[in-house]
Amino acid sequence: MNRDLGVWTNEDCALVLIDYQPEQFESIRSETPADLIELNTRWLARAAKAFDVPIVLSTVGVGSGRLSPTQPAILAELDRIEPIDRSSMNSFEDPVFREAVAATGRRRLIFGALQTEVCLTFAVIEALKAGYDAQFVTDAVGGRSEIAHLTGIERLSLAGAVPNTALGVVAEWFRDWGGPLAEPAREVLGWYLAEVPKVTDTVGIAEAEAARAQAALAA
Amino acid sequence: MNRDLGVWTSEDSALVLIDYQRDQFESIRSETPADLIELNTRWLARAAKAFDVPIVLSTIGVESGTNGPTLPAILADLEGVEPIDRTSTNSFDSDLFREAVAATGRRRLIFGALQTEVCLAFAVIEALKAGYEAEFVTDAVGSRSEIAHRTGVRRLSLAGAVPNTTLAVVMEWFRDWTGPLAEPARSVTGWYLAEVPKVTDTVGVSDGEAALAQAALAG
Repeated sequence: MNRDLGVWTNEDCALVLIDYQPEQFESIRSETPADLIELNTRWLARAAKAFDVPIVLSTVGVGSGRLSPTQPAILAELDRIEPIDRSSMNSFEDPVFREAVAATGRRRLIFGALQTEVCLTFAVIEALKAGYDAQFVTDAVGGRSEIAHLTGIERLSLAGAVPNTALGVVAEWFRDWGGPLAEPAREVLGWYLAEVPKVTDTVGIAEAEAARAQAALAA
Repeated sequence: MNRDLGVWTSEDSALVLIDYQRDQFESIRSETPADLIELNTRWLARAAKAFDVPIVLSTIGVESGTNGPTLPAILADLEGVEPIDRTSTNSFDSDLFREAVAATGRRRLIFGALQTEVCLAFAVIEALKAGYEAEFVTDAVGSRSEIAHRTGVRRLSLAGAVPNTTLAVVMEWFRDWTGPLAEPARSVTGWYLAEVPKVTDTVGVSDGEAALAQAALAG
């Protein structure tokens, strides 16, 4: 049961990012727009690096020449991480992917993937079946329609995966403004709060937060 | 399991209010507008006082100077309750907070907090893990976006926390219009029904109730 899982930490998780490729971004028609999904995914990547959370990155159909590689803006945040290319929609059918996940040494996996009801869902369902705890990031994923996306979320929720948001994950990792990760947390949060208004006005930012983000950029 | 929890009473629950601060209110962009969240939280506070339900109040980042204190209008309804300031987004990381909750002597906690998927979610998740029963008040909480708020609500529901609303919490506490709490219930409900139309026309108030509320104010 979900109730025994508690609050997760940066020391027990790995971040798994799947199929953030241009073709998948183009077909998103669900609640979070593609450019905000891209920004939220970049934020997860930056925070994972800042907090020493291992990252597994995967793509589909790049080797076969059918699809393009990981979106450049996301890849830029993930230097030195080699994408694992697959042919299967189900990441766990790929032995290299499975081994990369196991090699993180973490039993709690936080997933972002496109699209929600396909490559995200299959990976999370298989992870749960394999005995991992799984979170998925609702505002860093999307599907071809709102109902497709919501159906994926519903399926994963019922299967025992934990829904979270990009902000929820970042806060869950660093937790404490008086703790050891407060400094990198301030930095990645400041970056995000400065970037968000360039993409959308639908995400709330307090005046003091906006001022702090601007001051940090100017410094 | 949720089905065995039954209807809660004023004698078995405590109210826990977390991070109702200006910065948090400013960034709310989810279904319940900030001013209605403020009013609902004040109603919870007034009802808890009227029914002798113990209250724990907490803030984040006030001592460090990052954030302002509890919103004055809410604090005014909490006379005699000292806020416990924290640095961690996870309230249960704070010894003082944990001890204050334990000192209420109650094993059923009713939570309101900003934002939904961060400080509310972490507190409720930790409370459940620690063996408390937990309710959260959906229309006294909010977040930076609708999807963020909904994701928090979903996470908590799946974890075994009980979703409730302000009105239902107040009713659940006093229950019976001929019971011992009927008189204070009439008074706090009358106050709320007179205040709601000043804030929103999206909450239904019947003509008879509006007349009673006005008469009570005039009386």
